Amino acid sequence: MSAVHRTLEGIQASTRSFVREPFTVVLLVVLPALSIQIYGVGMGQFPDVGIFAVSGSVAAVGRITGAVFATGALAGVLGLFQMISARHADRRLAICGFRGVELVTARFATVAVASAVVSVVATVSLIVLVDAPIRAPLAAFGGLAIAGAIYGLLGIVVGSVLPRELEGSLLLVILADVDNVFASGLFGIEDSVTQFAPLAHPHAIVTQAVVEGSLATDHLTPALGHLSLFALLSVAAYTYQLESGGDA
Amino acid sequence: MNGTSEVDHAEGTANRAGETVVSANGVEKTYDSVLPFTRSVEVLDGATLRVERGQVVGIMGENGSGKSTLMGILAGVLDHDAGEVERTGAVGWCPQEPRLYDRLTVDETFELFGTAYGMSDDEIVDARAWLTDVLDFERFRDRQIRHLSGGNRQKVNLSVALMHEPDLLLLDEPYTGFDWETFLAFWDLTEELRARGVGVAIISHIINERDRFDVVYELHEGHLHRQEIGDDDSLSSEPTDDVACERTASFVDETGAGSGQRATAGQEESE
Amino acid sequence: MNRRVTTAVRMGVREFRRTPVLLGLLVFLPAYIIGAFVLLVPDVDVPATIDGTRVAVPMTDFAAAFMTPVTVAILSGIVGLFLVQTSQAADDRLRLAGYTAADLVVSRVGTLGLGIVVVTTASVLVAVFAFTPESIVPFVAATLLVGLTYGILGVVVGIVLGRLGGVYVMLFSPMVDVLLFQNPLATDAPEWTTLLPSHYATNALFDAAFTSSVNAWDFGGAVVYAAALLVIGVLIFYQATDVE
Repeated sequence: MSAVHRTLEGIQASTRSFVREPFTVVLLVVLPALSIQIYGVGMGQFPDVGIFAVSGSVAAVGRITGAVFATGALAGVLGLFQMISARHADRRLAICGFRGVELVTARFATVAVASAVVSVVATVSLIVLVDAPIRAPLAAFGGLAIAGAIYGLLGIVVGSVLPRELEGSLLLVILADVDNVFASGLFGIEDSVTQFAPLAHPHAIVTQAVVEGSLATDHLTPALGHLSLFALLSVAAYTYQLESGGDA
Repeated sequence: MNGTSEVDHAEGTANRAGETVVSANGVEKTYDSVLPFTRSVEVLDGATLRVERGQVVGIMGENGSGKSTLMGILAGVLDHDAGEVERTGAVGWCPQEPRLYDRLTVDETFELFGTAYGMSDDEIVDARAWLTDVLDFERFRDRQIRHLSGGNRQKVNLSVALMHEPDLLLLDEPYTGFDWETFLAFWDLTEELRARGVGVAIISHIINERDRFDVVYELHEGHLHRQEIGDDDSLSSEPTDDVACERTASFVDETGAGSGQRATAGQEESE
Repeated sequence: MNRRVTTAVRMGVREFRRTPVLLGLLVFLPAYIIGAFVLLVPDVDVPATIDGTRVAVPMTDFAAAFMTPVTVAILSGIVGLFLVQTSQAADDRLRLAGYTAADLVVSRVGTLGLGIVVVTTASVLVAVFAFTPESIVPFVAATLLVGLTYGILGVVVGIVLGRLGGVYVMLFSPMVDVLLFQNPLATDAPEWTTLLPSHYATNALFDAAFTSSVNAWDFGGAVVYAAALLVIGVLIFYQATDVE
C-alpha cells in the first residue's frame, strides 16, 4: 500500500468515527446557527454607542462574534477529541505498518478537514442569518477558516498535553470564550492588548468582509502569523506525545 | 469470613437447602432505541429460572444473547418489561464491568461498600482480611482502583459482592483476567459458599467448568433451557417457559453427556 | 448525619481531591478569567443598571463583579458534571448494597456543596483583590446561589445528556445566561431572559456589589429557583440510581 493510500485510509477512518458519533454531528450543524443567533440577540440588548469598541451595529457584530466563537470552539474540540481518541490507536497503527510521518499527516489532515467543514457551516449560517447580504463572502469564509484552523491546532496542543475530555474541553472552551470576548470589542479593551488574542485578527477579517465588503489585508498577515505559531506548537506537542508514549 | 459465627451461620443457612433464593418467571426485556429509524432489540422473551440455597447455577449462551441483562434483572438494577422476579435474603452482585469508584483505594472501597451493607468497622476489617488473603491482593490495598491491573480490579469487584456474606451471589464472568492460582482459589471459594448454603449464579463461557455446576441454563433467543448436571446429565429440549425455540447445536454434545467438551470456539470468548 | 452519609461524603471528597488537574483548573481559571478582565479593561466608568437604576460604575469594578458569577457558574456546572461522572457508574451498586435514595442524595448534595464552596471561595478571593463589594456577605451569598444553581444544573444535565453532551451544555449555557443575558450594561434585555437560571441570583449579586441595600425579592427568587432545580435534580437522580 502506498504512503498516500495509507494516509487517505487514515483520514477516512477518522472521518467515519466522527460521522458515526451523532452528538458531534448535531453539534456541528446546530451550534454555529445557535451561536450566531444567541450572540446577535445578546449583543443587540446593548446600546449601540458608548460602551464597545465595535464597527457596525452591535447586533451585527454580535452575530459575527457568534460565528467566530462557534468556529473556534467547535474546531478546537474536534482537534482535542481527535487526539484523545487517536492516542492509543496511533501506536497500534504504527505497529501495523503506518510510518510516523503518515500518522502525523493523517491527524493534521483530519483536523484541517474538520476545521474547513466547520468554517463552511459557520459561513453558510452567517450568510443566512445576518440581516444584510454579505458582499465579500469569500473573505468572510477566509477569516472563519483561519479561526477554525488556529483552534483546530490549539485542540491538538491541548489534546497532546492534557488528553482528558472534561479537563481538556473546559480549558479549551474557556480559552475560546475569553479570546472571543477580547476579539469582539466587548469591554473596549485596547488594540495593543487584543492584537495578541488568536481570534482577534480572524474576527476583524470577518467583520470587515460583512460590514464593508472587503478583505482586511492589514489583519491577514498577523492572522497567518498566529496560524503558523500554532502549527509549530501543535507539531511540537504531537511529537512530544508520540515520543513520550502517549501517556502524558 | 472466618470464625465460629460463620460456622453457625453456615449451618443455619445450609439447613435450609432447597429454599429458593431467586426465581424469575416469564421475564421479558426489550431495548428500545430513542433514535428514529433504529430497531428495538428483544433480549429476553419469557425467561424462567430458579436458584436454590447451596446450589451453583451456570448461565451460558452466545455473545450478545442477553446473559448480562438477565443478571442485571435478577440483581434488581435493571428494569424488566414483564414477568416476575422474587429474591430472598441479601444479594451480592458482581457485574461484568467492575462498577467501582476509580479514585478510591481498595481499602476505601471495602469501607464504603461495607458501610452500605450495614457492617461494623470490625466486620469490614475481617471481611477485607479474608478476601484479600483468599484472592491474594493484600499488597494492593492502598492502591486506587484506576491504577490496578484488570485482574486485580476484578478481584475487588468480586470481593464487593462477597464481603457481606450474601444469601444469593450473582456473578457475571467473575474470573475474567484471573491468573490460574486465583482461578482455582475462586472455585474453592465457590465450594465453600455452596457448603454454607449460598445460592450462586455464574455467567460463564468456559464449558469445561460445566461439572462444577449443579444446574446449567442456556440462554438462546430470549429463552432459558435448563440442564441438571449429575447422574442424569441430560438437557431438556424444551425451554423453561414452554415456548418452542430453535436450539443451539453447540450446547448439546451429541456423542454423550458429561464429557465436558461441548462449547463452540465462539462461546469461549468474552462477551 | 448517619454513618452512610458521612462515609459517602468523605469518599466523594477524596475522589475529588485525587483529580489534581481539575482542581488546578478550578483554582487557576478564576484567576485567569476575572484577573485578565480586571487588568485589561480601560479605566473608565460604564453605565450599568443596578436595582432598576442606571448608575455609573468603574469598568474594573464592574469587570470584577460581573466575571465572578460567570466564572462560578461555569466551574460549578463542571463540578456537578464531574460528580455525576464519577459516581454514576457505581451508585446503583451502592443502592443495591444498602444505601437508601435519601442517603445517596444527601451525600451527593453534600459533596456538591463542598465543591461549590471551593469554587466560590477561589473566585471571590480573586474578585475582592480588585474591588470591595458594598455588601460583602450578601455578595458571597449571591455568588454561592449562582454556584448552587449551576452545580445542580450540572448534575441534571450530566444525567440526562451524558458525558459529552453535558460538558458542552455546561460550558456554553453559563456564558449565554450570565455573560450575555444578565449583563447590567444591557439596556434592552428581552423579557424572557428573566426566566434564565441565574437571573435572580445575579441581580442580587450586582445589588450587593454596588449598593448597601439587600434586595430580598431577588434573594428569594434565587433560593426558590435553586430549590426547584434541586427537587428536579433529586427526582432525576433517584430515577437514574433506582433499584428494586
